[in-house]
Amino acid sequence: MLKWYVQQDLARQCQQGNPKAQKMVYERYAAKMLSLCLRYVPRDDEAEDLMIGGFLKVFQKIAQFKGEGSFEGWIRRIMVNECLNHLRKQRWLYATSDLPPAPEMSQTIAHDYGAEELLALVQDLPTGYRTVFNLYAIEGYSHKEIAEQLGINENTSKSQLARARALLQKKLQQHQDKLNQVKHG
Amino acid sequence: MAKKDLDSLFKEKLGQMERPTRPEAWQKISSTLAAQDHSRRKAGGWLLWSIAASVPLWLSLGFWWLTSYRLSPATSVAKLLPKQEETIAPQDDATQERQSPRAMNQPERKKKELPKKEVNSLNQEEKYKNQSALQNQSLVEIRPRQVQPSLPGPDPKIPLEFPLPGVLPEENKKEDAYRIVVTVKLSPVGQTPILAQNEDNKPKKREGKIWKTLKNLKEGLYPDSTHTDEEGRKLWASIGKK
Repeated sequence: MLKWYVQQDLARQCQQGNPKAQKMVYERYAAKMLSLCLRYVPRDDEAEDLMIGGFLKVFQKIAQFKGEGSFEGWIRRIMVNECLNHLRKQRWLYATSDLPPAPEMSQTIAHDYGAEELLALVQDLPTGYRTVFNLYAIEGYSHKEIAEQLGINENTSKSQLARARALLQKKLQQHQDKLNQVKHG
Repeated sequence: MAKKDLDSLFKEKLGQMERPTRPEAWQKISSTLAAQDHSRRKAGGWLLWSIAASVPLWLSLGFWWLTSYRLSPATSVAKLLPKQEETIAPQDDATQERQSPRAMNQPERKKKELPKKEVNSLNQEEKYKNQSALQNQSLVEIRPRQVQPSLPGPDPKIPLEFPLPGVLPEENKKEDAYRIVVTVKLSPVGQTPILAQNEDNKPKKREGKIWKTLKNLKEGLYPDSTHTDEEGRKLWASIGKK
């Protein structure tokens, strides 16, 4: 991760419209932001379009960055909003109805999974579950913030998160069983 | 196999995950940014050009407005006069509107409808009432001109006033009047005055009397005449020519 003053300097250079600084910012954060978009939108081309649109907004609204927080966090928030706007336009977020909270499960899983395997598991989740899980577990949003962002009830957010966890644990268990069969068999 | 919390596992693995991008993505971003920058500069150039082009227009409009404003007769006089609020002189009490006794004398009008006859009689009373007030207000005391009786002296002076068109009076040029002081010798009671004995001096008509008086003055019968200036002489000369 870039040091704080390097990030601030990059942001300042971008505010002055320096193309080299813009390219440095892109090269530094594009891969991370593309994987972020892939967590919300499974298709590669869609995720890339969202990433491009997010970077355009970053460079257009760079004057609004006051340097009070992390430059990477500011870019990440723009990317998340871009993905959520895309999902809102596709009306995927409104397909899920209010569900009762799922029972808590033992959240202990095996440890030897790669990032690509975990990304595939997340992408297999339904859109609503996937979105709430990404926002809560990875981005660190609270249920209240998720409810405001998605326009749903807090209980809905909690139930969607519980169901997403249950599904992920179930898939992880199935994956573990396959690995065990391969090892023993 | 070590076990770990589900959320923290996904956060740790996916939070810092990187997926390499295609080079075409940056081409799209850079081309879009260049197009936006070009359009922004173009709009800025047009804005600057329009502002620069409008400067002479505004200047000419302002010059025309100022000249037309100054040359208009109403504003030219009004601009020379000081405003009342800007003067330091105290406000004249005479300019303040006061309630006149005539306005205070107005009777309160009754809204109740009365029969026509009563209304007429009431209006008549009011009319007379107001008329009397008006008459009292407009009453002007005219006093007769006080003539101071005096004993006949040796050279009493009788002023005669008559207009002479074309002759500017010396004392008061606004009034078209001419003053000549004529000395009359009064005779004792019972005797006819000297002037009365002359037939030419009889008041047949006003012009004849005036001409006679002027003739006497020319002949020096009235040496106390105060009209001895140049204009008088010119007048005599013109009369003689006629």
